[in-house]
Amino acid sequence: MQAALARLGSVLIGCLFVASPVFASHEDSRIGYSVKPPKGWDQVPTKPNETYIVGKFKAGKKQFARNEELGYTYEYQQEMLVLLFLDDSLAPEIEVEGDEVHWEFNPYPDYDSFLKAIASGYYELADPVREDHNGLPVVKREFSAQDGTVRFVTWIFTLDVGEVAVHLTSTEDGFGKAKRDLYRALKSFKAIERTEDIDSLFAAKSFVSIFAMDDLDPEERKIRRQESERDAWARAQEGLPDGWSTLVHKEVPIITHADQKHAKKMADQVRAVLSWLDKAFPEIGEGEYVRTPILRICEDEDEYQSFQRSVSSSGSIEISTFKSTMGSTSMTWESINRGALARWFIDRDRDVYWALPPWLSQGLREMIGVAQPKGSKLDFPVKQWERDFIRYAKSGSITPCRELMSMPWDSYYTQGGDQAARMGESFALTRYFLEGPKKTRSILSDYLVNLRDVVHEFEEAEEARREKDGDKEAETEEEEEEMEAARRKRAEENRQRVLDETLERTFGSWTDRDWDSLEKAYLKSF
Amino acid sequence: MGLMKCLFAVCLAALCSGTSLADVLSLKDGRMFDQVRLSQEEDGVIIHFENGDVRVPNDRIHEAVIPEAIYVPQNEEERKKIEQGFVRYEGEWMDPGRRDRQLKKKLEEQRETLEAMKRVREWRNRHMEETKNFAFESTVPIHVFESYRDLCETYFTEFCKMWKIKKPRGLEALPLRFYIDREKFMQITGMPRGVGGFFQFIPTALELHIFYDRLDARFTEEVMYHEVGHYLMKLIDVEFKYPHWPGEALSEYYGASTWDPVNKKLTWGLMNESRLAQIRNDISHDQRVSLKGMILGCQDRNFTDYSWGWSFVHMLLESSKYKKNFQKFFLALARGRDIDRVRQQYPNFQLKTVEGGEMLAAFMKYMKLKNDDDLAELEKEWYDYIDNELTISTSRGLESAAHRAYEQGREKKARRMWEEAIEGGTETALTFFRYANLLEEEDEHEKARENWRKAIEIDSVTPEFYIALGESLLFRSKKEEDKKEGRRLVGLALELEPDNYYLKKNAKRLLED
Repeated sequence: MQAALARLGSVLIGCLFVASPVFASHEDSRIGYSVKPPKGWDQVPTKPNETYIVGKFKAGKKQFARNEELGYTYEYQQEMLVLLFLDDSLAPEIEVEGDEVHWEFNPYPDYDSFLKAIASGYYELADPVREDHNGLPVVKREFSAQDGTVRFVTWIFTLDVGEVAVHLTSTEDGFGKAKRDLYRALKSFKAIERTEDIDSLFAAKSFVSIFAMDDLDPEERKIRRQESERDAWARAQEGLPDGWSTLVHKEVPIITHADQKHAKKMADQVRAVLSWLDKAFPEIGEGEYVRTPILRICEDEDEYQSFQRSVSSSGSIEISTFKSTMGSTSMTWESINRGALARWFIDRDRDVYWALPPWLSQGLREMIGVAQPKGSKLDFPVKQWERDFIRYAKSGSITPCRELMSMPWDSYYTQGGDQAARMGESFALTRYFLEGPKKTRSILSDYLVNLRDVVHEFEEAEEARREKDGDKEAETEEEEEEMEAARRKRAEENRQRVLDETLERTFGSWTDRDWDSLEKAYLKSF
Repeated sequence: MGLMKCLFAVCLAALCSGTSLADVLSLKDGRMFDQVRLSQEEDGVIIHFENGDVRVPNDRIHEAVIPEAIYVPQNEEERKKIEQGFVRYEGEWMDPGRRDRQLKKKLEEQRETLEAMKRVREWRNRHMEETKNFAFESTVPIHVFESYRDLCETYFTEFCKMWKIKKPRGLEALPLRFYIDREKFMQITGMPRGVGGFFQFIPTALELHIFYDRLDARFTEEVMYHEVGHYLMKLIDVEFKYPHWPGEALSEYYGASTWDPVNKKLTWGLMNESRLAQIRNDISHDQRVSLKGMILGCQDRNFTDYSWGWSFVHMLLESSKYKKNFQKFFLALARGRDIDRVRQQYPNFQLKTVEGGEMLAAFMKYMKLKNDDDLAELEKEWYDYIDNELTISTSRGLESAAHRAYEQGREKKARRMWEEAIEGGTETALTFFRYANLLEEEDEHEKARENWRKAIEIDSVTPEFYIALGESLLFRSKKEEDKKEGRRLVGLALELEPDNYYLKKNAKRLLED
């Protein structure tokens, strides 16, 4: 019912900025156009930095594309994009703050450049046709995939603010049937009066990267992060398609095309993971403000895929997902948990996050993946594959934890080659440290404190070395080779030294007996 | 004499320059300029743009139509003819009316030819031609395409002769798709930027995809030899996939071939200087590839299979002592009953191949090597061959190695190699351009500009060279006249290529005062 209402909503759209009496039209009163997407197509939101995609729609039903040459068939999602190639004279001035700005209204000067970036394996089927349509100059174009599977039909209209391209796709096989609807949509395009200021398109025009915040103190950083949170939330709410709603639950901002009950459940999960991380790792980035991620929930996986299909990454603090119908143990929930884990660590101490040894990095990801809220706490149920692993571990073929914890990256990912077993071992050891007796929990805490200290000491040492060496450049080819070899060696060695030094500081005083007793207790925990 | 040459003869005969509107010019490398203003000089044609003149030497011109070129009398007799109202056209004296009619007809024909050349650049209008062994689909100008077409056929015939093989019955002409440039190749095939061409080895859908690099036509040829080489190996057994070594190594052996388009003669077994430069680089770091490792590691996709692998295959095929046995070994990999092949499963098909241990055993057997000592002896001979027999004699290898070194952050090394190539007399515009880019990065602006100018001197119609020089003057110089000149050069680049991707994005910023 909700889905049906949502679809109805998109039919009743749903202009971006003005209430429109025109049914089934997508209108933009800042740019000055209206267009009717094919019947039954739903609007999909765009990523916050995709400001030049002013409309995005997907068909209600999927098509099947057949590659005859290679003999396979796949599902294909038809799309309609409305793209604005803004006139240079209207392009906003970009303010530079900090040392990095990653924003450009439209990274592509025209439709050809856009197509070059987003599509591959296509060619233009006929010479572009230049005509007038509804009093507007239009260039009509048609493209086909070289493998004969997909077709794009695009009309590019010239408005006073720039060019607007309406780009529709279909499988080649389904084109005959879809053609009428696609052309009807294209023909529906017309100019409307611009009643909104074009500048509102550029409201959120820059963001400061995490690196640019490094030079601030924690309090200043907190202020900047809070600003960036507000900015991201404002940007995320802009131009939401009909059927989408926003809410804040447990201080988690949500943009959802799913029902609110489901949205709240997901927000509960995000909040529970963040709270658990606060408690589990107080030693990491103490006093650092963690931005609460924005949770974007698509109606279903198809909508999520359409939303995700993009040239650029979102560059925001969003966790994007879709309404899960597969139960609380599905991959959807796992990915939300992992998204929250990454967001939390990056704001608390990204250097530690990036320096986590392979066993802990993988173990933590796996462990957080299975987490589910239980009351006010987070539960980590045992999954079937973990049970299988435990059976395997009980047979005695498990890597001793001392060896696993000392394992360098290369060996971890290649030695023996059994990645499933390695993942199980890492998960089991991480779980043991986090859920085992108090004593073991303090071991992990010590380990992380030491890792944090070692990482920061190494960072400082590296910084001092860079300062001392200055921008030393090679004078000769030999020096160039030596410096490059030294750089590679240093990076490799540093990574290993961080691992070794952390182990040494944590377990330096341990005897073989201590390790044996840890090993025994660990195996016993199975 | 072709149409172009007839008209061109008129132009060449003119000693003084005349100009006209809406002239047409097409170059041997496939570029075209229509609706431009041209004037003829003895050694070339001048294109008059708003932002300056660009001289194109005769040896780069495919066709030039300058209808209003003024003929200057050479002697008294000719002066009299002109006084009588005659004009000279295509070696004949005639009345102006007849000349105009003939000229108009020719201009129309020329424009039609040029229009056809423009049309064929679009994939939908591609030129399709089936020869005995290839089904070509090409967006490259016909006069460029023809040479490659003949090359492919000759290559096919010569390869079959050398390996004593025949095209399997039922194998259709190989589709070879030849794209006008890298951008179109990427757009239409969906390949990423780094790919220079590829051979699709699905038995039921064999295809070759190659693009034309007008700035580095030799690169196009090398890719074509290499990729066609993979196809030709399929003639031995369509369902056999040659392992990385010796497959890539043999393709590289052919990759260094040269083609004489006039005599239609293909020469192979030449020095692959780019690969040799890589080997020399490895040796300078005390890295030598072991023969046993190379043969055993045949599935590992080692990059050294292209370089070291090539040198080994080169030694074997260029030696009367080894050639026959190596050829037998190579054919036996696909066909020999004494060799165990394994199946490789792909999504919709299977191929056979030979794996490391079996490969080594087969190599030992066919090369008549009894034990590891014999193999070590052969390895020693191979190293000696590399050290003493293989030499770099042109700038090609240096230029290619320099570019690679630059991309790997070895700027000193790249600089030295580019300088050696330039001292060796290279005439490759791209080398001057790349060298200049490096100099600019190292804040040697004057020297950089000197080298960009040299690139422009060699290739006067490539917008990137003007852009680089223009930007240097705009942003690295404080002199107002330099900035003005910088803007002029950027403007000129825009006139040379109005669709230039970089300029589409940046022209406004660059051209404003």
